[in-house]
Amino acid sequence: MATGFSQIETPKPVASDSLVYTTGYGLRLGADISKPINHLFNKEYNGFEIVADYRITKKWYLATEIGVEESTVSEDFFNFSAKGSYLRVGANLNAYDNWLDMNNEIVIAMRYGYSNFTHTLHQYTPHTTDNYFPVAPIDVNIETTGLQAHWLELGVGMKVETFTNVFLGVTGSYKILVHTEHPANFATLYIPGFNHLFQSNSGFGFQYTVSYLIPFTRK
Amino acid sequence: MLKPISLVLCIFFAFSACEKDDFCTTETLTPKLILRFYDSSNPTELKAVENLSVWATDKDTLASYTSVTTDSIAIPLNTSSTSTEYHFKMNNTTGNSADNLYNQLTITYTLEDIYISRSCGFVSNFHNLSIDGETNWIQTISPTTGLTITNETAAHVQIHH
Repeated sequence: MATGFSQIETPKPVASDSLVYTTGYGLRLGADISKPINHLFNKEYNGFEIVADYRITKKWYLATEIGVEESTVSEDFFNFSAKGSYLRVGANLNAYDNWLDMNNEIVIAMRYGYSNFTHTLHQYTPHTTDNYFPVAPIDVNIETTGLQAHWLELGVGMKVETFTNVFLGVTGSYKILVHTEHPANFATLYIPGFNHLFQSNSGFGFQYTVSYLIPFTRK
Repeated sequence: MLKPISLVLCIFFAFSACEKDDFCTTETLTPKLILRFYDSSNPTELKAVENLSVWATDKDTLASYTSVTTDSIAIPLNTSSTSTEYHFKMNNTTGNSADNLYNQLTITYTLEDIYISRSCGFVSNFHNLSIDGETNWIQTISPTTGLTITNETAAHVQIHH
């Protein structure tokens, strides 16, 4: 059957290739929600941290965290607590190439950290090599205030924009101690903002953040 | 696009659950008092004590010093007290209990607890240590006062019998 219809090809206008996708620039504020959650499950720990960053270029952000932490730690032969406040400042590099107007990040985080803290040795048991004379824990509660520590850290993480301007982030950091003060006849073993200080003068930490971007402009 | 980095992060967190990197390997923890036995008639010559048993007052005999023949012993000091009283039994004749010879010594000291490390904790050192007691089978002790015990690398006290 022959038809009388014929399609006439009419060229459609080609979409302009010049559309520019923009993402927000501004101040992003948030908190590390892992710390209050940790406190719910571990009463020996309490902490709160506010995070902020400010985007300066497509890939670079100025970033800072400020917080307080208190942790009681039990070792084999003694227990102690550390309590204090800390500040970390540095930069984040976004190593992720976003599609279109997406605004997600693979974060490379670089920080300098500072803490002012109190160490309290609560109790210890002298370490003897035999049990001929049983040893009992000795309560001492020796408090050393005004201790200071400085460190550097390198972190890897990601941030995902889950709703407009709301970001979920996770970052793990490797920390290298630059300098810390120690209590007399004891040692600094936990630094607020640094976490456990190991014999190698290093430590690990992580953050799970929720933050909100206050966009000042879009570029 | 985000999947490979998620995997990397999972691995990172799995291994960053920080375990201690520190094990207590220090040679000297709380030091024991090391006594060496010398011949009273030839004071530079070591002389073993025969059938020696050692115990502290109100305690069992030390397991490693129960009827042994030795010229050197290392005995623990009580870190919960500033003195320890030891009893030394020897028998160099028949081995029958009727021939046992006894000697008691009281060791007094001041304690200093020193921090070593996260895994070792604190150890006690002994200062101004002095030894006082009977002279039954033990004849002389040197030194008897002013001793400092911080390690077990050498004998602390010479006992002549």
